[in-house]
Amino acid sequence: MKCQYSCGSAEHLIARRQFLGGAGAGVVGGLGALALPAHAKQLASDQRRVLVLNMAGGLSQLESWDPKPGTKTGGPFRAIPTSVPGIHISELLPKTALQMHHLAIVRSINTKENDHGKGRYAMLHGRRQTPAASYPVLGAVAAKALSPEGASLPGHIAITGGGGGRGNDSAYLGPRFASVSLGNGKPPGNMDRASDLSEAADAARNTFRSQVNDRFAMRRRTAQTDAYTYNFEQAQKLMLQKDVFDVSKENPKDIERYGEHALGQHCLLARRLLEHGVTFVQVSHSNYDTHNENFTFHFEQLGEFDSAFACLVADLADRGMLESTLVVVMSEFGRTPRINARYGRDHWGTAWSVCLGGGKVQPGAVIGATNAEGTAVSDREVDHGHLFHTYLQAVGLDSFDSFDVDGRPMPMADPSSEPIKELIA
Amino acid sequence: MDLSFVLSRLIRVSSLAVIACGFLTPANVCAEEPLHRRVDELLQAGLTVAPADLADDATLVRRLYLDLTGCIPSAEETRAYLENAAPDKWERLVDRLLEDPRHIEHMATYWDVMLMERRPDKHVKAPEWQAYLEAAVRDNRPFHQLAAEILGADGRDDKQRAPAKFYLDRDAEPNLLTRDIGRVFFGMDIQCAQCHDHPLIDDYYQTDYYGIYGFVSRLSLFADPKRKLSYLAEKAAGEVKYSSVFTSEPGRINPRLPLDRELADDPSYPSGEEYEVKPSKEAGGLPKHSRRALLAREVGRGDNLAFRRNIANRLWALMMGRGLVHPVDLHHSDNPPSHPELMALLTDEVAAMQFDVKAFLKQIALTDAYRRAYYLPPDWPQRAAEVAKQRESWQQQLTAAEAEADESFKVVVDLQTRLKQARVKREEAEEALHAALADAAAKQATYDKAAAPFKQATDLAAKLDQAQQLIQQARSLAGESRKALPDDRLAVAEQSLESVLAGLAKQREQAAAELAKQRPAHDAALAPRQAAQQAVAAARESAEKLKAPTLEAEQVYVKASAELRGHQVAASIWQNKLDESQRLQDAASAVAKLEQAEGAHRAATSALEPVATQRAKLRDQLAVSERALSAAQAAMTAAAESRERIGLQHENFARAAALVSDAKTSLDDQHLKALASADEVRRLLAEQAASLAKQQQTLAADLAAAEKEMEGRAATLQQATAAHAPLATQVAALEQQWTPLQAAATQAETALETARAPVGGAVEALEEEWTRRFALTGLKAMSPEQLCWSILEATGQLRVQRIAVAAAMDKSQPLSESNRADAAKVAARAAAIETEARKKLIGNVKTFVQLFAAAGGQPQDEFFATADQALFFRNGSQIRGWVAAGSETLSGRVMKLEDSAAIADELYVSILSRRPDDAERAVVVQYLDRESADRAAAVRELIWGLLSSIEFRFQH
Repeated sequence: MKCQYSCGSAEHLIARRQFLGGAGAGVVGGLGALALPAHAKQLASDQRRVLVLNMAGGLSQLESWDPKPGTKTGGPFRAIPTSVPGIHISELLPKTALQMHHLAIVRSINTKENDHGKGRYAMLHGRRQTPAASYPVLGAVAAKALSPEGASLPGHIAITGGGGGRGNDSAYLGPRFASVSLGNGKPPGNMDRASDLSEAADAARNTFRSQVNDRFAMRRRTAQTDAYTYNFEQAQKLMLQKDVFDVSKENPKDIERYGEHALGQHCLLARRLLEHGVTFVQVSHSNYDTHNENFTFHFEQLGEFDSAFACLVADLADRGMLESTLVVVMSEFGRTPRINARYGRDHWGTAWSVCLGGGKVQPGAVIGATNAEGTAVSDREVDHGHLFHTYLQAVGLDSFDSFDVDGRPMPMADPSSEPIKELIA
Repeated sequence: MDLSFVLSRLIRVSSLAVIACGFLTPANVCAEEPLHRRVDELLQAGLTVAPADLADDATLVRRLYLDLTGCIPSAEETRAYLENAAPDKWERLVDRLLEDPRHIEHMATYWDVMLMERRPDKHVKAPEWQAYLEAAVRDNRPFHQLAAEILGADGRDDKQRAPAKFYLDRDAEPNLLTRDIGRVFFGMDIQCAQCHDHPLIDDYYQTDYYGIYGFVSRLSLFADPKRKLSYLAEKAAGEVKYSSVFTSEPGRINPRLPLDRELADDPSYPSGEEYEVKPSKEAGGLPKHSRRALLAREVGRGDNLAFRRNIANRLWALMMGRGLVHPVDLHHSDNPPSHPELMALLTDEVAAMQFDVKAFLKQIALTDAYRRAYYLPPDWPQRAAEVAKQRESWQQQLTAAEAEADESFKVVVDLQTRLKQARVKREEAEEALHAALADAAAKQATYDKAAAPFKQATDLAAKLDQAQQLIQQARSLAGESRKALPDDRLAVAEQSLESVLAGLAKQREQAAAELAKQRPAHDAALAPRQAAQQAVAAARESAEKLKAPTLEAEQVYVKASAELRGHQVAASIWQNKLDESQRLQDAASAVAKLEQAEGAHRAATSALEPVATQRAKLRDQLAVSERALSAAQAAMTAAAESRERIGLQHENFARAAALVSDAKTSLDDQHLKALASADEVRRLLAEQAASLAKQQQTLAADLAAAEKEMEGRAATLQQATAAHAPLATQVAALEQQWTPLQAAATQAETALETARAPVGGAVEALEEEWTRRFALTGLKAMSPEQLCWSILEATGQLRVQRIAVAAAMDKSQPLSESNRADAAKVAARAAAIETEARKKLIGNVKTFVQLFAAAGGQPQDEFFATADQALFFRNGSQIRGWVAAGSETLSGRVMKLEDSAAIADELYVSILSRRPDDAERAVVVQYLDRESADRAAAVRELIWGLLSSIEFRFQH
């Protein structure tokens, strides 16, 4: 009655001589246990990064990446040409249009999901939410697979509108890879030495701590004790790098260029963090849930987005970082082609778009299409699972690999899905 | 249906234990011995060498306090234990701590984390839940009862609210409940068996998943609109059907516990009477037959193997840091217990002890295994040497066992194929039976439909017949009556009856026609019904026939599997021995190589040393000589230059004198004699000549002197050169001697580094191996709660609260004189003080949980270190506040001590629960001396340093 899954070898059917998990399996939990998978080490010299712009609430594909001007669903805005001949996007994104040769668009997404929470979960986890299982979010996967060993900055940062602290989004990968939230762009907490503790006294007490530790380590030393000790050094390094979180240290011209609104500053902070080697940064722009006045709202909101995003893409390209940095603009879903009575558009997971670029993403590509009025995918239907695979492939990972979690292989991406191969250069 | 197969797997598991015991159980294990001794004997039997020594008292007292009270001992408690000389002090401490009020909170937290895994509160709030669990610990409620309460509660009544948290806070989601019931109560993470038999684990089946699922599949959350709370509603019907996403094989199953029999079909109630409480808008349904209650009853019996094994293993892991099966939620045959026979013993004993958690924990605490040191004994390399001799024989045993396993494997694979075939056939027959049953039901329906008008006609005809008969009787009675008493009215009655009869006859005729009309349809439906019934009987018979062969195939397969497992267990025992001895050897040889390298390094260094000294000395001399030589050279060069210069001057003067003399000659010889001025010129020339001659003389003298000087310096130079040459030769010779020695020393140093590198890993591997075998105590990172309470205890914050609470209680409800003499009353007062003091500080626990606990709903036993934790330690205001001075805080107490050494003692005993050694004491004394300008600050930072140490963070 056994199924044949992943591997039909006799070892899985019935272990012939040895118990799989028995003592024969060798030492687990040794110094190597806290290390990264081998493929990440290969990349360490050429560190790959991921930047996600999360258009919270559901960006309208018709007012952005897949305009349908002149149709009954198209709304009032025109489509404009971009730096890639043949690709047109909404006139609300004139600056982004000039960066199109760095970017690609997937226009044929059907996630079959119209609920905010479930849609967000699917897009950020590459799988549907199920009650009995939880999966790590894209940032945790990226941080685990791509962060260099010993990096002192957190590998998974979310720049949010408010609140801070460690997120609960890394599932079985553990809290080391959970998001660190920079609420409103503020640095993590407890970064400053107590005012009544001099630098010398701090150094002295840490020397004492090391002496006590060394004495214990002579008797017993494990991967865990090493991790604990090392962590204090990491914290010290992080304290010295506090400026990395301070966007005001950037050139005033840049601050102006990106826009002095929150999104502009968050995008500039994202650039700063990526430049300092943070693996994954997520910036949220809120709130695109435009059941009312869709057009006015997109006009205002995309105005902020367009300049900040175009600056970011151009800067990453100028700095030569785009080859190693995947940039994704996503939402939980798109918006209905049908315009409702309040000039709004509603939730729509049936036929919508994502824009991405950088890494190994084929620049200037357009994947799939929707029909004339945008009411259905007409070519190359994909969903969150395909996109998640594609993100990982774009930063050089084999998305069919598994993480070893306490001896249990946990697939990085949904093994029943696959990447959009033609999008990967 | 899987019943027989399941039963046979049960047999398989027990035979595994039996086989294992046959291999390992020493003859002297006897059932009358206390459990802890039997545990030690079984553990010892599995070891190839003597385990680590027992830990010292200070280590033990800290370990036990952390395990049983969730907090380090106070300085007083540590001292009291260290100074206690009673031989049974350990057992008495175990007993005392199991009754300590802190134990109640600690165990309740343990149950909470095990059951809820720090999920955020949803329907039942933490305080209510914690109080429920604390009451259970206080009463030492047997675990199977606790489990039955939790799995039986629906949260409908107020009393049932708290225990229903397990269901309610999981939103009664059947898949989530199935997964967590499997993991938490049966130690089996069968989630991957939801959609197909488990891909990697051989004996997790979809039937395991849906067996549990069947208990909870009818549950849902009902939001009571009046009481504004949610409780469980349950449907009375709903069978579990599933199919594999891979094989599409369908299955049906009644509820069953893992490794257990499938339960009988639900009792049936007449339609409309299934519910105790009917589902409505006002109330959630409560069926008369509740599968949730059934689960509670089944679990409450406490006889399920997986259930017993799970709790035995979890409690073992609580004390020992790792389960016999590890991770604790992956019991399956490819992840067997590290000690199968011990697992079997504990599985039996926990039930035999009626799931008495305290008694069980006590037995574990009394084992030697619990009390082992956390570091290797100093003579472990010697122990390795002893083991090496036996390796060859183990290898032979292993080879033999593996050969048997190979043979057995072939048989099992073959039998498995046959079993599959038999099961497929049987499943087909079962399917055919189901189809036949469905067909028979359909045919019955057709018949019923066709028979209805026929039956109606038959009934009508029968009624008419009866009526005819009765009226005929009436008519003849009326006729007879008329004869007896002629009356016109009777004649009229007779006539009217006659006409009724005629009408009836006509109706009867019509009925007969209707009957004839309906008969063919009826008769036509009769035959297929009979045929279908026969088909059912036939299908049933053939299905029945296939039962026996399938059962037999299962039994044969299971028997062969058990044999295979037996061979595998045997092989694993030898393999384990080989592995352990291999680790020992690896570590020992790494250390030996290191020692060798150290020796070689020492030798090379000492060979190099005298030569190096001599070389240095000679090179110094050579340098001196070189300096002298170059000085002489410089002097010589200077003298030569000087002589040259004087010589040149001398020549110039000689040339000038010659010119003057030439001029004089030409003046005399030529016609200029007559010139009046000639005499004057002659006189001038003569004067010049004289002056030149004088200067020439001086220069000649100078020249001679310079030449002499030069000669002198040349001699000095010669001397210096002569002295330098042999020295240079000597140095060159020494250099030749030195170079290879130096190279050898460098090489020895490199070799030393190379030899040092693998030692750490090899020793760690050995330590891991020994820890897995419970021959050495592993390090356990403190839980967030343990860490928080221990810091509060160490810094004296708990003490401050205790004093305040005690004072308040003494004031508000003082103990009377007689009560003060009553030990029980005094103890109760102390417990009340402890509980109250902790209440004041419990808010801090949340901070530690946020920082040090894994995310809610995730396994909570994985260690991790994140930067925010270290930043909290380094810069957070809480810890800084706690280490600050105050009259009863640790830093306040310590500041009252004059003697730095005494301060060191107090700090170590309070924080690390041990006295410092001399070196450690000296470090503290030095620190205080160096920072004497601000002693309070120095004390504060010393406390911080000890709190941040790995020795504090880890239980050891």
